[in-house]
Amino acid sequence: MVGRRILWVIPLAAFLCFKANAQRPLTTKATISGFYTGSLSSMLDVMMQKSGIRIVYDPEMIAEYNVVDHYNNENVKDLLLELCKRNRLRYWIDADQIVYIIRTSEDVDRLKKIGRQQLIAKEKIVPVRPVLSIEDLKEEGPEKKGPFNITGKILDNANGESLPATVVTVRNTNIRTKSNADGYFTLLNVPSDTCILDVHYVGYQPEVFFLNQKNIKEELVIKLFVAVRALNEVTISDKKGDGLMSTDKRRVSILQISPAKLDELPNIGEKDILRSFQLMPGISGSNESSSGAYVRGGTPDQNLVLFDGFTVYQVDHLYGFFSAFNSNAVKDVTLYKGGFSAKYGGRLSSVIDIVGKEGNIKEANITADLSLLSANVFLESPLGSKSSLLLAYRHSYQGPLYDKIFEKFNASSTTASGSGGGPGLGMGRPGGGGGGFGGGAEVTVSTPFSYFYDLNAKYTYTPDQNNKISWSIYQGNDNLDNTRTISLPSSIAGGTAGGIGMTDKTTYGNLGSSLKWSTRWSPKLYANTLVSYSKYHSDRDNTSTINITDTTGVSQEIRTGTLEKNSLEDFSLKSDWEYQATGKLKLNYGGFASNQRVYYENSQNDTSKLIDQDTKAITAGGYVELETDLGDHLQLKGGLRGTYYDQTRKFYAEPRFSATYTLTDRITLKAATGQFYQFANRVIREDVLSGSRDFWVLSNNTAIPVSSSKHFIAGASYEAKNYLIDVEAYYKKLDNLSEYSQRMTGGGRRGEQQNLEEHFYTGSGYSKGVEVLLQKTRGKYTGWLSYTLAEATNNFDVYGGEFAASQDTRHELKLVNLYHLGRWAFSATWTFATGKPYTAPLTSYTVDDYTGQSHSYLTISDKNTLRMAPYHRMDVAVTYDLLKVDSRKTGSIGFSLFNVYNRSNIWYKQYTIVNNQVITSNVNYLGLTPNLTLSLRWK
Amino acid sequence: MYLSLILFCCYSCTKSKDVEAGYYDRPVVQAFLIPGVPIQVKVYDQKFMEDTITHGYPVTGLLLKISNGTQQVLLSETSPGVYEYADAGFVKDLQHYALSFEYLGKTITAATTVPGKPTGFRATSTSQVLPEFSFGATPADFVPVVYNWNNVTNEHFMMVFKNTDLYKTPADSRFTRTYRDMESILGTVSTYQTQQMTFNFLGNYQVLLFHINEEYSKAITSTSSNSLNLTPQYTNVQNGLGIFTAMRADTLNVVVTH
Repeated sequence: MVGRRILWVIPLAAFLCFKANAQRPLTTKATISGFYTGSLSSMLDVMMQKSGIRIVYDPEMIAEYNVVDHYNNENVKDLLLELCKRNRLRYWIDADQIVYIIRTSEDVDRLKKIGRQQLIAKEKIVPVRPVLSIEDLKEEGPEKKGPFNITGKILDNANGESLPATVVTVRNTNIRTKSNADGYFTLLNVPSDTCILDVHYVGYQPEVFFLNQKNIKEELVIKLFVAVRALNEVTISDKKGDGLMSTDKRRVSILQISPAKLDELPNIGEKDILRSFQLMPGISGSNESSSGAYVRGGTPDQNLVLFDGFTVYQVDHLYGFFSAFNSNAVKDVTLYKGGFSAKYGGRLSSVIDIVGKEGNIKEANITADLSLLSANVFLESPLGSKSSLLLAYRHSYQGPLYDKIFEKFNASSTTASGSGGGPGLGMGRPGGGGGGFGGGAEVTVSTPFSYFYDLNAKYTYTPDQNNKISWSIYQGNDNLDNTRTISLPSSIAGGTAGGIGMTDKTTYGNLGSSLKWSTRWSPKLYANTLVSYSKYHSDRDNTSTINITDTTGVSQEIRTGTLEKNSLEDFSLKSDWEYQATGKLKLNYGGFASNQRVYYENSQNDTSKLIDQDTKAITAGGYVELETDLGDHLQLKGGLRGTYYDQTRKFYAEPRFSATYTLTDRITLKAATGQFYQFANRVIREDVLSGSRDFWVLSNNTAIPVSSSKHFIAGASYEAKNYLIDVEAYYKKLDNLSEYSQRMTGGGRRGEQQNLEEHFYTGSGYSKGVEVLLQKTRGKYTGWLSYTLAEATNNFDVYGGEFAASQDTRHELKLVNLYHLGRWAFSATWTFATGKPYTAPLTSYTVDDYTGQSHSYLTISDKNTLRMAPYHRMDVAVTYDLLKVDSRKTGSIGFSLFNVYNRSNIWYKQYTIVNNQVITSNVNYLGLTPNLTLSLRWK
Repeated sequence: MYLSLILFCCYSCTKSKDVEAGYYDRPVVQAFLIPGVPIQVKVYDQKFMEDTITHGYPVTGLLLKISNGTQQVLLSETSPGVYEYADAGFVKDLQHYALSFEYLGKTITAATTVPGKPTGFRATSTSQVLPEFSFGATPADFVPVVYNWNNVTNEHFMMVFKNTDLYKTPADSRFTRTYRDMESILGTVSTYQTQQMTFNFLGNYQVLLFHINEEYSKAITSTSSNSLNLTPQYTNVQNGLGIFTAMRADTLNVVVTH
C-alpha cells in the first residue's frame, strides 16, 4: 500500500517539476512618461514605483549603466526589455511576478538573497521619496495635508489569499491597525498623503507601502511575499524583533503561527500546528499523547478550538498524537493563552482560532506531501473570476510509524489481559475475554485495519469588493481497530470449528461546516455572519464474540462486552460586527446562539443499556467590546459578554479587560483579566482500556455544574535589536470543575450482569505561573528559550481536599534552535519538564466474597502525591529545499529524529497482580523515532 | 544563561515522605452477617507489594465487639485472626450492627444493617436442561429459567447458585476445574435469567437470592489498575479496609440435567 502511493507520487512530481520550468510573462500594463537622466538602478526604482512590480538587481552589476531618455506612455514591459537589450542584460520573472535583472541564469539564486536584503534595507531608508524627474514631480503636485481615512486589503502576492491579523502602521506615527479576518483594514486620520505604511505579517516579508495622491482615494491592495526561509518560523506577533515600530506589542497572551514554515521544525510524522505551540511558554510540551493544548494549567477541553468559525470538538488523530488539522489547508492560527476578548466564550482557559485557506484566486495548484505516516494532497483553483475552491485531503497509512504509535496503546492491553486469568483485581476492561486461553490455543491475529483521514474543502465567492461568501467543510475521522480473532484448535472447541473474536473498535471524528458572509457596509463598519454545524462522535465497540460452529455448519454466537456511543451536535448562528468609530476608538459587538445536543449510550451485550442519555441545551447571548487608545502610550480594551444557558435557566455575565502601556520604544507593559464560563465538558479517560477515550457532556442543574474561571495576567516585554524578552505572570482561579468516574459493578465472571454507576465529582482549582521567553529574532541562527514556572492545583472533597492536578508541571524549559545555510535548514529542540504527579499503590490486600472467591485490591497514596521522573527529550530535523532554476521553492525533503537520545519518558505506570504479587511496569512514551517527509508543489 | 536555568530546573520534586505513613497499619476486615448464622469476622494485615501469600497475615489477640444498639457482645478468637460469636440468633432481620475494636492505638469501626428478606421470589421452572453438544447433531436450544422478585425501591441483590450434591458431576467431561459456588452481584434489578454458562455442573442446586447492601457490591467490585486513574477501593470500615456487611437470603431449588 505504501509502495503504491509512492509510485503514484513520483511520476506526478516529475511531471510537476518539468511543467513549471517555463518563465512566466510579465502581466503589468503600467506606463511611464517623462524625461529621465540617471543611473539604470534609479530608473529601475522609478519603474518599480510606477508599476508596483518588484525588480531585484545587483547594484554592482549594473553600476556602470545609465539612462538618458524621454518616454511617452511607454509600457513598463517594453521599457524593461529595451533597457536590458541595450545593456546586454536579461531578466527573469518568477511566479510571484518578481523581476530579476540577470546576466546568466545562475544570477537568479544570488539575486533572491539580494532581494531580501533590499527589502530590509528599504525599511531603514528615511521616509523620503526617491528623487524623480521634474515632470514626475509636477504630476504629483504638492503634498496634501490630511487627515485622510484610508482602507485597504492585505493579500498574499502568490495566490491572492487575504491575510488576517496583519499589522499596518503609519510610519513615524502612532496610527496603527490590524487587518480583520478577511484581510481588510481601515486607518483613520492619516496625516498626509505622503506617509509610508509598514506592513507586517508572521511568516511574510515585511512590506513598505508608499501612499500618494492617487492611491489614497481608492482601496489599497497591499501584497505580501512569503518569507523565503523566514526569519521567524514561529513568531509572537506582538513581539517581532525588527527593532522598528511596526510590531504589535499591544496584545496580551497571544501567539500566532503561520503554518507555511512549519516544516523546518522537528516533527513526529506530520508538521503539526498544535504541536508547534507546545514549544512556547505556558503551553505544556510534555504530553505526547495529546496534541491538545494544556494552556497555563488548563486541560485541552478548556480550550476552544474554532475552525473557520465553527467549534471543533475532536481536535486530534490517533489517540491524540496528531492534531486533526491539515496544516496545508490552514492560513492562520492564533492562540489566546488567557484573558481573551469578549468575542470568544464558552471555555475556561484558552482559544485557538484557525482560519482556513481560501484557495488560490490566480492559478490552479497542486501540492503533495508524503511522510511515514500519511499522504496529503492539496488542490486549489480559481473558479471563474470571482470564486475559488480549495480541497485538502490527508489519509494515514499503516506504515511503521502509525503502527508504532498504535501499538503503544494496544500493547498495554495485552499486558493487562495476560494477567487477567487470576481472580480479583479486574483490570477494568469491560467484559474482556482475556486470559484463560493458554495451552494449545492457536492464536490467529487478523490484521486490523486502522486509519485516520481528514478533508478540508472551501468555496469562496466574492461577488464584489465589499462582500464575500465562503462555505467551509471539515471532516476528520479515526478508525482504530484492534480486533483480534483467536481460532480455537478442535481439542478445545469440542471437535468443531470455532473461534473467539475480540472486537475492539474505536471510531471518532468531527464533521463541521460553516457558511460565512462577510460584508463591509462602509469603510468603518464591517460584519461577519456565520451559520455553522458541527457534529462530533466517539464510539467504542469492545465486545467478545464466541462463535461455535458444529460439523453440520450451524453456528452459535455469544456476545459479551460493552458498546459506547457518544455524539454531540452543535448548530450555531453568530454575527460579529466591527465599527471603527474614530482613529482611536473601535467598537466590536455581536450576538450568538447555539443548540447543542449530546447523546451518550453505554450498553452491554448489545441488549441492556446501562446509560442512555440524550440532553439538549440552548445557549444564546451577545457581547460588546470597546478598544481605545488613551494618549500615545495606553491602549485599553474592555468588554462584556452575556450568555443565557437554558439548562440552568440562568444568565451568565463575563466582563473582560485588557490593557497595554508602551513605557519606552522597547518596553511594553501589559495586563488582562476576565471572567469565563464553560457549558460543555469533555470527559477524558487516559486509560484507553477502560472504554472510549473521551466524550462530551453538557452542564446541567444537578450533577454537572457550569464551570467558571477568572484570569489575572500581567507582563512586560523588552525588545533589543536582535533579541526579545517577554515575561508574563498569570493566576487562574477555577470553580465548579467536574470530574467523572464510572464504576462497573458485577461483571468479570461469566453470565454475570453488569451495572454501571456514573459519578460526577465537583471541585475547584487554581493555577499560577510565570512564563519567560527569550528569543533571538534575526540572523542565520534564530530560536528561542522558553521557561515556565507553574503550579496547577485542584481541590475536590472526594479526594480529600487539595492535590496537584494531573497536568501540573512545576518547571518546563524548551530550547528551540534553527540554523539556515543556503538550501539547508537545521533545527533542534530540547524539552525538559518536571514529572507529572501520579497516584501509586502502597500495599495490597485480599478479601473473600461471600462464596469464598478471593479478590485483591490495592491501597493507594493520596491523589497525585508522587511524581514521575522528569520528562526530557531532544528532537532534531534537517530540511532541504527543492528549488527550480529560478530558485523558487517547489518542495522540500525533511528528515527528523524524534527523541534523539532515546529517553524513556514514563507515560503511566501499570500495576498487575501476578501470583499475589503486585508488579509495577512503566508504560513509556515514544522512543527514538525517525521520520522522512517529502513535499512537492506543482507551481 | 541556559545553564543556570537548567540548574534551577534540576532541583526537582522528590517523593513526599509522609505519604506512606498511616497506610500500613489499617487492618483488613471481612464479615458477612446473615440472620440465623453465627457471626464470623476475619481480620488480616495488609500485604507488601512483593508478598506472594494470598491473604495477609491474620491479626490475633484482638477484642472485637459487636453491638446491636441494645446489646454488645464480645467475639472469641477460634483460630488465628478468625473471631466468632456462636449464638446464631444474635443477627436478626432489619437490625443495625456496629463492630468496633482497638488496633495499634486506633479504634476500628464498621456498621451495617440487615436488609429485609426478599419477597416474591419465584422461578419459571425448577429444572434446567443443558443441551449437550455432540457430533453431527444440532444442539437443542437452551431454555433459560427466569427468576423474578419484588424490587420497587431499587434495592441491591445478589444471586448464588450452590450445588448441593456430595459428588459433583461436570456438565461437560472436558471441564476439569474444581467446583465453586457461582456468585453474581446483580445491582438493582428484579429479574435474573440463567445462561448456559451459569452451570458447569449437573445436579441439585440451591438458588439463593440475597438482598444485599450497596456497600457489598461497592467493596467487591474492582477498580482500575494503572496510575492514570487509580482510585481507592471502597470500604465501609473506618480506619480499616475490607467489608463488614449484612445480607438476607431467600432460597429456591433447581435441578440441572442434560
